[in-house]
Amino acid sequence: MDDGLIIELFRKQDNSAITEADKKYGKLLMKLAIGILCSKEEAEEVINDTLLAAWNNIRNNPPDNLQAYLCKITRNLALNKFRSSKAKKRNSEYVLSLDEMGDIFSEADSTEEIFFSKELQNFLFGFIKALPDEQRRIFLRRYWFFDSIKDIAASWGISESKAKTLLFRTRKKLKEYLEKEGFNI
Amino acid sequence: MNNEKLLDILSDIDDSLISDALQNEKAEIKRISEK
Repeated sequence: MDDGLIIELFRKQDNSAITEADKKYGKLLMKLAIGILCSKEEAEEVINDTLLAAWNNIRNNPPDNLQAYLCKITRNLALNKFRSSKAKKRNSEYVLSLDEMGDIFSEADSTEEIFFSKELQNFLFGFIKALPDEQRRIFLRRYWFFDSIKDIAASWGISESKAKTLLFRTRKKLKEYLEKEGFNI
Repeated sequence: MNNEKLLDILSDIDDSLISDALQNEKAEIKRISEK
C-alpha cells in the first residue's frame, strides 16, 4: 500500500493502519531492532511500541516520510532498550559499530568527554551528505541501520574485506574532517 | 561514551538520506522475490 494511504489510515484511526504499516515495514524495522538488541523478543516489543507511537502521533502530526519516521522511532526505542538492559550483548551489530568508531574517538586516550554540540551535528551531517552516493549509503547502513558487514557485502555484491576497507576509509576521512574543522577529538 | 554519542546524534539525520540508504534494500528484496 502507498505510504500516503497508510498515513491516511493512521489519521482516521483505522485499525488497518497498524496492519498495513507492519506488512510494509515490519521486516525492515525488525532487522534494525535486532541489529541493536540481538534479541527477537525484545525487537518485537520495540516494533509494537513503534507502531503504537505511530498510532498515537500520526493523527495530529503526519510525517512526510513514513519509512524514515518509523525507522527513527524504532532506532531510538531500541537504543533506549539496549541501555536499560542488563544483559551483555557483545555480538550486537550496534556494539561492533561502537568498537569501530574507536577509530574516531579513542576512549582510552580521552581525558574528557567531547562536547556534542549542534554545531558538531551539523558538521557531521554535512560530511555525510557530501560523501559519494555509495560510500554514504554504506556508511549509513552500518552506523545508522547497524547492518552487519556480511549483509552490506551481500547487498552491494562486494567482499566483506572490501566493505570493511570502505568503512575504515570513511571513518578516517571523518576523523580528518572533524579535526580540520577544529573539533578536538 | 563519545562513540555512543556520535551514533546517537546521527539519529536526527535527514529523512531523505535514510530512505536513500535503503535503495539497495529494495533492489535486494525485489531480486530475491523474483527468483
